Amino acid sequence: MSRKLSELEQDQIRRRTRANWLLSTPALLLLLFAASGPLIIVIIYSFLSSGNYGGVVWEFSTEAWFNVLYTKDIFDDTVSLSDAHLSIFWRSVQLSFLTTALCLFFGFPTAYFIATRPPSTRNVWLFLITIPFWTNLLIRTFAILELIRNQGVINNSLMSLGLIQEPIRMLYTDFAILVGMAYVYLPLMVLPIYASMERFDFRFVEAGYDLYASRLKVLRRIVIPIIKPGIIAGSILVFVPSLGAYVTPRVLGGGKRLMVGNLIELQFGQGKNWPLGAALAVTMLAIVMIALIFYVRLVQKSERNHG
Amino acid sequence: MVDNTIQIQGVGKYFGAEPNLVKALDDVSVNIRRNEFFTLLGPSGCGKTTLLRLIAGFESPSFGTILLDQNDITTLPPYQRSVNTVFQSYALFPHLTVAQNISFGLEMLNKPKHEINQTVDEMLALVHMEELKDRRTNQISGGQQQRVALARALAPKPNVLLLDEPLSALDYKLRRGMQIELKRLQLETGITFIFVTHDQEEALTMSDRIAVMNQGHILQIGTPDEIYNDPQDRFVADFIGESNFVEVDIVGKASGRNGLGAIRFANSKKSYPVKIPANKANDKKALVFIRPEHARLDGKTRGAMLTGTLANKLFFGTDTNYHLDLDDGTQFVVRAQNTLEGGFNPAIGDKLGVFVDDNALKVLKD
Repeated sequence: MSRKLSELEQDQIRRRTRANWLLSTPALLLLLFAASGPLIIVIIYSFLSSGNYGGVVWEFSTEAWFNVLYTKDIFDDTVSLSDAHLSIFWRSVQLSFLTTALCLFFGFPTAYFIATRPPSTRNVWLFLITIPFWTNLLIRTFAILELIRNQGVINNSLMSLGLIQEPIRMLYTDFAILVGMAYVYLPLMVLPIYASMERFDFRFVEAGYDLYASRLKVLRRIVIPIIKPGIIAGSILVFVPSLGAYVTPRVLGGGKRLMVGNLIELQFGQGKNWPLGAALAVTMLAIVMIALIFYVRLVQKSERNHG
Repeated sequence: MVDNTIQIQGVGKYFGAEPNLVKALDDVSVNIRRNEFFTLLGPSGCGKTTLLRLIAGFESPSFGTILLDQNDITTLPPYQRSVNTVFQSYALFPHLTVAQNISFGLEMLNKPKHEINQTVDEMLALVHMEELKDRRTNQISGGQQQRVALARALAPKPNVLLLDEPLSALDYKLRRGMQIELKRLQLETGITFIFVTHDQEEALTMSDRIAVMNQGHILQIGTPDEIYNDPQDRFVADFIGESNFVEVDIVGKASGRNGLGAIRFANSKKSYPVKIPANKANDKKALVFIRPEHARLDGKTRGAMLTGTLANKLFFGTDTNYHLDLDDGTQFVVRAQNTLEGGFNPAIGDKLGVFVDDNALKVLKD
C-alpha cells in the first residue's frame, strides 16, 4: 500500500516536471533564438573576413580582433595601438559610470520621496515617473536637443534675461550625452530602489534615531545597507544600456563624440567592416560582464565587512 | 524630596485639524521616579503609546514640557536623549548580527572599541544570548529577538528605558518568563523602566507604580495594590481585575467620629458604614464596587447583604466563579477558591446569600 503510494507520488512528481518543461518551452525557445542565436552569429562573424561591399566572406580571419586594439599604418605597415577605439571605449565606460552616478544621485531621493508618500498617492507618483516611457526614445532625445541647443530654450531664455551674451555651447559635448542618458535611464534607477524602499520598515529609522544615530548616520548605516539590493539592480539596469547607448550619443553628441554603440554601427554601415563590428560588440559584452562581476564582488566584500 | 527622572508637565498631543481633531493626549502630568518600574496601562487608543513616543522624542507634544533629570528635553531629537526604546515589533536591524545590533548604539556614541566589546559581552551574558551572537536576527526565535531588543536598548546604559508592549507578541508561557526576566533586569541595572501595556495582569505583577489611562487622560496613579484595591472611578475598577457594581442609596452623611457615612442596598433595611467620597457627599445614590473574591456565598439567605439565584458556574482551576442574578436583576460574580474537600457546592437555580465584609465595600467617585 505504502509502496503504491510512493510510486504514485513519484509518478506525480515526474508528470509535474514534464509539465513544467512543456510550459517553459516558449521561454526557452525565445532565449535560444532571440538571445543565444544572434550572439553566436556575432561571435562567428568576428572570426570571418569582411566583404568589399559589407557582409562577410566565409574565410577564417583574426584580422577583426587585431583591429579592435591595433591599427596598421596604410603606408608602412607599422603597428600601433588604435587610439580611436581605445578612447571611444574609455569614454563609453566613463560616461556610463557618470550616468549611473547621476541617476543614483537623483533617483535615490526620488524613490525615497515616493516611498514615504501615503500609499494612496504613491501610484500617482510612480505613474508620473513612467510617463516618459510612453514616448519614443528618439523623440525624447530630440526634446532635450531642443532644450540645450545654441538657439534652444535654455540659451534663449538666459540671453533674453541678459544673464549671458553668447549662447553656452552645450550641444555636441559629453555633457549633452550625459544629460540625455541620465534623463532617459532615470526611471530604471528609481523603480528598483522604490521597490526595495517600499518594503523597507521605517521603524528601523526610529530605532536608529533612538540609538543615537543622526539623520546622516541612519541613512548610511541603516537605510542604504537594507535597500542595497535595489541600488544594485538599479545601477546595473542603468549602466548596461548606457554602455550600449546609440541614439542619445548620436543625436546629442553629433556623431563626433562617439560611444561604442555608434562605433559598432559605423562598422556595419559606412565602414562596411562587419567582422570588426562583431568583434567590437563582443568586446563590449566582455566589458559589461567584467564590470558586473567586479561590482558584485565589491558589494559582497562590503557586506562581509559591515555584516 | 522625591527624586524624579521624568517629569511630564501638562503635556498634550493633538493630531489633525479642527473638524477631525484627535486629542491623543490631553493635559497629562506625571512624575516618574528614579529606578522605578512605572507602567502606563490602558486600552488601545488611550494615549499610552503616544506618551511613550513623546518621551522617546519620535513625536513632539502640542503643548507642555517634558523634563529628564531636571533638563527640558521637549524639543530634543531622539538621538540626543539618554532614553532607549524596546519596540513592540523589536525593530532589530536585519542586516546586522545579534552582537552588531547590540553594539550599534555604543558605536553611535563613539565609545572606544574595547569598551564596546566589553559592554556587548556583558549584555549578551545579561540576556543569555552569548551562543547566538553571530546569528542574523531573522535566524533566532521571537523570544530571543525580544531579549536582543532588550540588550540593544540597555547597552548604552540610558537613564530611562521605554518598553512599548514588548511582550505582546510572545505566547503565554514565554510571556510569564519574560515578565520575571524584565523585573530582574530592572533591579540589576537600576535603570528607570517605563512600560506600556494593555494587559492589567502584566501591569500588576511587574510595576512599582501604575498609571491607568483612558481617552488621553491619566485616571489614577498608584501602586498595584492601590490601583487594585482602591480604584477611584468605575473605569479603573472595571479595567483592572473583575468587579461587581451595585447601585446603593446613601442614607447617612459622613459623620465626625470616624468619617464614615452609610449606604443601603435596594430591598434591604440594613445600612452599612462606608467612606463616602467628597464629591458624593450630597448625592442620594452611589455605585458600590465589590471584588468577586471579597464576597462569600452561603446557602442561607438570612442576614446576607445581597441575595440572588445562581445562574452559572465557571471553573478556573484554582477558583470557581459563581454568577448570580441578584433580586433586582443586577449581575454579581463571587469567586471562591477551590479546595480538595469540595465543600460548598450549590446547584444552578439555587437561592443564595452573598456576604461581604464592610471594609470591602468601596463607594466610587462616579
